[in-house]
Amino acid sequence: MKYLKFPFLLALLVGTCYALSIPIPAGDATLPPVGKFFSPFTGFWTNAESASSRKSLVIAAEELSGDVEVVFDDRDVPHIFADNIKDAVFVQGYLHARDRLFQMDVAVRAASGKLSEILGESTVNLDRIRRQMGIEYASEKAIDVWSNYPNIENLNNYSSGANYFINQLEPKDYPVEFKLLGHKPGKWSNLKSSLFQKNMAIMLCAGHSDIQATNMLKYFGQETFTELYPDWNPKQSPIIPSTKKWEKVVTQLSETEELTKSLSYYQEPPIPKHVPGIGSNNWAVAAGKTKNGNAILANDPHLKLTLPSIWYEVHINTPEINVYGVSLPGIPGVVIGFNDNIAWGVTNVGHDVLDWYKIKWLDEAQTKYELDGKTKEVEYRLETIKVKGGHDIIDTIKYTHWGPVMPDNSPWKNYQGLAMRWIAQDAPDRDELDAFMDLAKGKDHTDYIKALSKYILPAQNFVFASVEGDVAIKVNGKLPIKDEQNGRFIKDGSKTSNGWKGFIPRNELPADHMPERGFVSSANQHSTAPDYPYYYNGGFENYRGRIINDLLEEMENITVDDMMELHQNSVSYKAKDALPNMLSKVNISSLSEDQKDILDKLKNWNHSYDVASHAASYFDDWYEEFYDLTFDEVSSLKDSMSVMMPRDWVLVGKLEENSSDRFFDIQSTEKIENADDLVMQAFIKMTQNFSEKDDHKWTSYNKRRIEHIASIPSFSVNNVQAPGHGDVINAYNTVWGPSWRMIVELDKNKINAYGVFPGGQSGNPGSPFYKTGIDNWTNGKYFKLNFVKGKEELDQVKTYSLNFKKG
Amino acid sequence: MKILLSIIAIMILGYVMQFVTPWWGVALATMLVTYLLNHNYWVSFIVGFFAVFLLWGGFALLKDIANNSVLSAQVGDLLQGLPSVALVALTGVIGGLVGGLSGLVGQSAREMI
Repeated sequence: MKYLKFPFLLALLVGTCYALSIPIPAGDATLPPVGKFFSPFTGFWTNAESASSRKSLVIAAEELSGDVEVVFDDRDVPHIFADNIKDAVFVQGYLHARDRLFQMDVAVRAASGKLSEILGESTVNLDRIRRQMGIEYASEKAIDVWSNYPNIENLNNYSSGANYFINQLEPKDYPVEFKLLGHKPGKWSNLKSSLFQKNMAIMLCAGHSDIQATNMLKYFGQETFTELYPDWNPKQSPIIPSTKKWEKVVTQLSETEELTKSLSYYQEPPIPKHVPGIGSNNWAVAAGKTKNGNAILANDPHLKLTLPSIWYEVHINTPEINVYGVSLPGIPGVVIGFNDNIAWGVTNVGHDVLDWYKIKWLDEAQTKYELDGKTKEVEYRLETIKVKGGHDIIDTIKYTHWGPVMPDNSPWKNYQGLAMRWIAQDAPDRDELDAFMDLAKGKDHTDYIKALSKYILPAQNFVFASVEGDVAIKVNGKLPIKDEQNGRFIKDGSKTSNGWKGFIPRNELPADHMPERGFVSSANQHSTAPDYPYYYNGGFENYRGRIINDLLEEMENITVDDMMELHQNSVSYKAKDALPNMLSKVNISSLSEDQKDILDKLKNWNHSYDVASHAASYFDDWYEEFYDLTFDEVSSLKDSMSVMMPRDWVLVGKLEENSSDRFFDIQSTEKIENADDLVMQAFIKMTQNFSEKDDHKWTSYNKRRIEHIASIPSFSVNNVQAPGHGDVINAYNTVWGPSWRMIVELDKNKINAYGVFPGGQSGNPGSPFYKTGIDNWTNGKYFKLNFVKGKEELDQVKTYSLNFKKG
Repeated sequence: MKILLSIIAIMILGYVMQFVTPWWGVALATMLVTYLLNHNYWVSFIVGFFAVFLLWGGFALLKDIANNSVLSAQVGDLLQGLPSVALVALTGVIGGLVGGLSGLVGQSAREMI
């Protein structure tokens, strides 16, 4: 008996330990191994940071050329004091990895189509589309170009810094998300930095509507198409005002599009689309318009709000540069920031830089295609997608003159035969690497322009201000020259003449320096008035730019506080334009008491999307209902093709101009409806929608959150009580919003800077610095940024320091 | 007295083992101690259970206090809304079960030899 007990009990113990060591399948997800995850020595408890977790350390690294001291302030912002830039970026890489390793890993996986390797089946289609877009291939090309460029050393050092940190990690030190997913961090590399940049390109410059527009043109014909999707909004207030005089005219009208007629209707490939209503604001007011006589610059880039935040605050001080701002974990340098002399900020440029070409196949197997009357062969690239808990998927991607074509075995067969021409697939210029470092070193407007000439993509509106009191803005990046209307629709891919005609020379990009009005601004609207000599199309904002320009025009004696207030402004020009017309069409006599009450609230509304506003919710819902009723002609096509929905200002215009516009007729009824009928129907529908809701306030109607980067619910923040709407300056809408608010007063003697983002420096949910900024951000408050010239000035706010030693 | 000694020995050895073994190092520590310090089966189980319960739960508790329950609140939320205290207790119980079983194994090994 006693001989049986031991093996039995041992087997029981081993079995238990084994069961506690393997991941547990739970529906779509898997739970981490229980023993490993709960052990206070290896599991999530080790990620629970205490006050003493962040303490002063001495770190020896042979990659360094000198000593580097990093002083951390009370919000855990690192102030890097180094002898040279190369050492500083080594430390920046180390810190990004220390605080944001999981985020860096996920961003790169998302870009290169390697999510399924850790997340399983659910992300396979997402991965396939990334492979189709040729992201990793493009990054490999970038690395080839960069590798023989002397300043690649900055990137090398950044990667080494990240790897220095990653190499000394033990499994118990992994970020908690890795433990949850049963996955481990890989080494960082220059390729990954490039992939990170491509991920930004996917987010910001992969917008395209060629396929939808082609469908609409074919279905509605030229005249109706132009009516529904006009190129220019007459109310638009462009970035470079129409007073600017241009010299050259170069483009000609693209040849008549016979192709459209021969094409079948397409379903859109699931390439990430631009989300309407998101974008960014930046502006700068010259010294003459401010109270203190210093230029002031403001920027708030609107992105998906995530935890950890996409931004990482950093201050880099070397004998050559002294720069403060936000960086992107994945690349070295400061993206939005300031130094002792200048400040800069960015908003996205909406120019269309992703076009589709119809390939004329010459054989059944689709290996040969026609180009300028000659036969061309496709080039192949195999893409293997590893799937956690499943089989590998191998896609063969065909590359043509234009770019990649969708593979035959794809789930999106409908758009087979279309090749993608996307700027992010091009090999970059090698000095691209220097753009942000040059900005950081910049002393004046000339330096700023020089630095911008190296920047490629995603194209941005770079706003500028300096201690001299001057301000400037430039629509900047590599932007293609296109014939008139080219790139709006699917083009015939058998003729190279249908391609881009090079790139707009840098000195002919839309730009302004010290305009008479004393300020510059951008909010993703049209870059220029229609008189700009180069043709461009794309996705442009129609409301935020107008209100910013109107308000800045009026303001004088501007202070930093005024700029903070402007960031919070939630007044909607769309509501201002549309609401009076909508209200005038409501037939009051037929309304119930509750409905009259709603109408009264709307009449008294100040058009501001405030947290507790009921009218904001009513208007938004009412407008949506009205929009849906009006454009039933377009939305009813959705089952058979991808459609393009008209912009809001088109509907608002119709409402102002012609109550009996044919689009106000509802197709499915006998009656011929007009705007009055639709506005009233929409009003009744809206009041019915709200009669079922208990809470009508804006932030309950438009639920707002900040989502964890892997959508782990308990690491996210829900029910954020902050005002705003996609159409207003404070562009907070569901999960999109101002991802960093910065205001810099460029005083010669002492730069005054304020900033806040809805997150914290640490990406660890178990860190006290995970959500540092959320309360301030929600309440429209800022942190004073500790921008100093010497480390002794930080003594008041210093919490600990990291001392990097050579060796 | 021997019981108390066993518990303390398992805790110390278990703590040391975690530097060189995976999470299940506590099982080895418990087996060794219960093998060397002879008890009966019941006592061995209880000694193993309590020692590891205290070690794991105790460390979890210390970390949770130092962390102001920032992380445990979120992880608890992930596990059907478990409060932080329950998460600490659960940690102790998972460790305790392994410890208890290990105690039985140590005891049976002693008996066999």
